[in-house]
Amino acid sequence: MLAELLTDEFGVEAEWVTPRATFHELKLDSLCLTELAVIVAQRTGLVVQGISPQSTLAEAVGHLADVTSAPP
Amino acid sequence: MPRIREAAVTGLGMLTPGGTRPEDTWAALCRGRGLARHLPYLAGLPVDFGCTVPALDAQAELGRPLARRSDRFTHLAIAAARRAVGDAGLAPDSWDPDRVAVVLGVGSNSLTTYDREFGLLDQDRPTFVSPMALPRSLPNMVAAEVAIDLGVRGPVFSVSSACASGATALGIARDLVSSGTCDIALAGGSESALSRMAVTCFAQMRALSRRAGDPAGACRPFDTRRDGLVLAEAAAVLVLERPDHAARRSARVRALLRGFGSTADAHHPVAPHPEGSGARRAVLAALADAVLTPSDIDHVNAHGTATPAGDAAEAQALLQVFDGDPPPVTASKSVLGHSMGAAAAVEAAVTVLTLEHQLIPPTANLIGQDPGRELDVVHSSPRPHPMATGLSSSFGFGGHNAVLVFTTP
Repeated sequence: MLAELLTDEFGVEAEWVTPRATFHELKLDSLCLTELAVIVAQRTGLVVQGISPQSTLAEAVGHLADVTSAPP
Repeated sequence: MPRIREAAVTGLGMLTPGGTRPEDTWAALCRGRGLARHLPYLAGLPVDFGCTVPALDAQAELGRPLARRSDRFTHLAIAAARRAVGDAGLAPDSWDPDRVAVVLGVGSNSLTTYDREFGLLDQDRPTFVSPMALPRSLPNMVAAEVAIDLGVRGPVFSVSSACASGATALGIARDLVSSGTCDIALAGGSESALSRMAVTCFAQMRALSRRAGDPAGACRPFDTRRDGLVLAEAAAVLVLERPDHAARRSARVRALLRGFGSTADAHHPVAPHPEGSGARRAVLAALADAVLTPSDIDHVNAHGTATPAGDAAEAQALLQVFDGDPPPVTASKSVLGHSMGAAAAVEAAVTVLTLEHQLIPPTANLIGQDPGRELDVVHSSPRPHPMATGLSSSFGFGGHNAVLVFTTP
């Protein structure tokens, strides 16, 4: 889902979307990340926090996994 | 001898319902047929027709990141500004960015994003409101995004005087350039107020034509059967420079912006002064600023929105200023519709084109004028006419009046 959001919504080139890429390297600033979090919430109901422009995509996916598996 | 404060117009960029190049708009104006059509997404509303800019793929032209972070009125403005800069033979990587200004007229913040985001709030989902709602919608962002796109670091702002915004922006930009505050100004206007909310708001004010059976024939400036304006989207940007600056770089000068008059009616929130007194004072102010007299004006590009009261007041004002015998008039909104904050800039650009071609485009849909207020409105076909000067008048809700005077180089 994250990769699809980055390419389809934010226009990131698909070949740049790698686990070790940071959001800063993908040219997503803090405002974009705030928007990303809102879109994730709209589509999944999940509230994602703690992602910064220096976070890697792997870390972001890990955050999503943590939120998904957290007890209600 | 009063000092003449001129600015050279060295570039034009226009995106209108006539097309995405000045020559496309000019051709549409010369054909003299209204460009309004039914818009499917307006179905079910009291008015479901308007004029849209064809063939602007914002993602293809601006790239997806810029296209998605801004609304259509910003897309149009950036596209127009890029075209104007190119037409002027300028390149952002070779100018001094601190000496360039951007002044753009906008009638409203963007109602497109607000439609969507207000809906979320109304559904009690505030956490889903986009963080980009304000950056996408604020009226200043039209000028700001143009500045970001072209690397401009001088005076940058949007101005708002309703339907006169584009002229106000051009007048202010003329002053910035002639005073030496900056060397180059990108000035004009942009608007895309065709969302369901915007159309509904205008319809509820009874400002719009209800001629749904004939959208192309709906906008009828100065015609006795006029019943209101037709909404449109557009953007126009003119590049202004001091004449000496243009000469130093051997720039082609398309026209000179010589006069600017700005007044207020202080009368009513939406209705013009019935005798056109504020409009008349704005015309006289523009002439005085240009150090010209009414007899020096060869052509008028009228505001001509096709509202019953507005056209009557404007005709009255023109007859008074020009002592009962105004020069030939055209009303571009009859073809292009009313693009609000962009309209005055579009019509300023049309005035430049009119002077260049020495040809006055016809006003569409004119059959008969109000008795006692007849103007020499060019209609049916373009009229060749020798012109050294052209006056473009614009009047907005709230009683804003802005008039520009252009001359041939």
